Amino acid sequence: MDRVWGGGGYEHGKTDPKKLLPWTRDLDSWMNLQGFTD
Amino acid sequence: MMNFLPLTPAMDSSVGKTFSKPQDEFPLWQPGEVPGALGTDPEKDIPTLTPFWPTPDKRTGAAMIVCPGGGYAGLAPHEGRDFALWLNERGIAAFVLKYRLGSNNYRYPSMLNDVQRALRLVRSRSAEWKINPGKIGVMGSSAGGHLASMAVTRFDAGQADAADPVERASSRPDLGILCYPVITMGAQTHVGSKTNLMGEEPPPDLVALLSSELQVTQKTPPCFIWHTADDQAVPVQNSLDFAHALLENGVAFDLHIYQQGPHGQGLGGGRL
Repeated sequence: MDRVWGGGGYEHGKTDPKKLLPWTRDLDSWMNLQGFTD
Repeated sequence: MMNFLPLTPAMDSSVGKTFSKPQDEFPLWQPGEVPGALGTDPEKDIPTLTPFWPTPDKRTGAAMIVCPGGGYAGLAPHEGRDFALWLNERGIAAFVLKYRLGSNNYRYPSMLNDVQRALRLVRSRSAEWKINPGKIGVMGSSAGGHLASMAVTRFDAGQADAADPVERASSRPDLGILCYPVITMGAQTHVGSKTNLMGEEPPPDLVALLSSELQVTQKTPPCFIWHTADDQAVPVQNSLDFAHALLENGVAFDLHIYQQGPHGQGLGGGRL
């Protein structure tokens, strides 16, 4: 697996969302399930 | 020079009025009031929060205290700022915690004091900052995950009669996110984190107190945990044991174990 972001650099519109690690999608769903991001 | 909570009026178009919120890094305590401080060096001795705000059209009212990893010897930017920007896109206000480190001669409980103070501080200012006081979570990676695991298992309701209004607020997180966390101070620990947290040869009762898998109760908030099975720095057993403790105590959780991947990946990904 790549670790491209070590050292920083996340920017909206400049970071490829398809290359985010799968835990980010899982967390997104879980936070929604918990009602945290309603 | 950092001021205590410098407030900048910011236009919030969703409610059509301005409100004040900090835009820059700010200290958790007033100058000279940091408990257990060994000095006044801004880098070493002054714990702070750096705020990152979602745009008004995305704001959910949720907030997250973000604890970067680094073995209690450093703070990894890709587990701080990058996480905060990702959370902002989900409408979550993020506060990156600069907590005190073993590499600067701090030991437990300084780190726990810092994260608890951060939770109290954000909660105490929630009305002013348009944050839901019932939606304040804590997120941590690696050693920062250990700090977050202490925050979700060791908290109090605040002191109702405290002179400092921040200390009247609860330090209980409403949700925890643990990324490849150090959990135990036992056989499966990350030795560097343990030494930086407690020093050499800590007493057994302190080892047990700081082994978060032993501190879970029914009051622990829901937790999301992820780890890779082949993590060579922090054994996956840390996450498995914490999840088992959550299960035993009837606490809601999600546990994600991925087959491969090195320790400390953060968000992963790459540029478009």
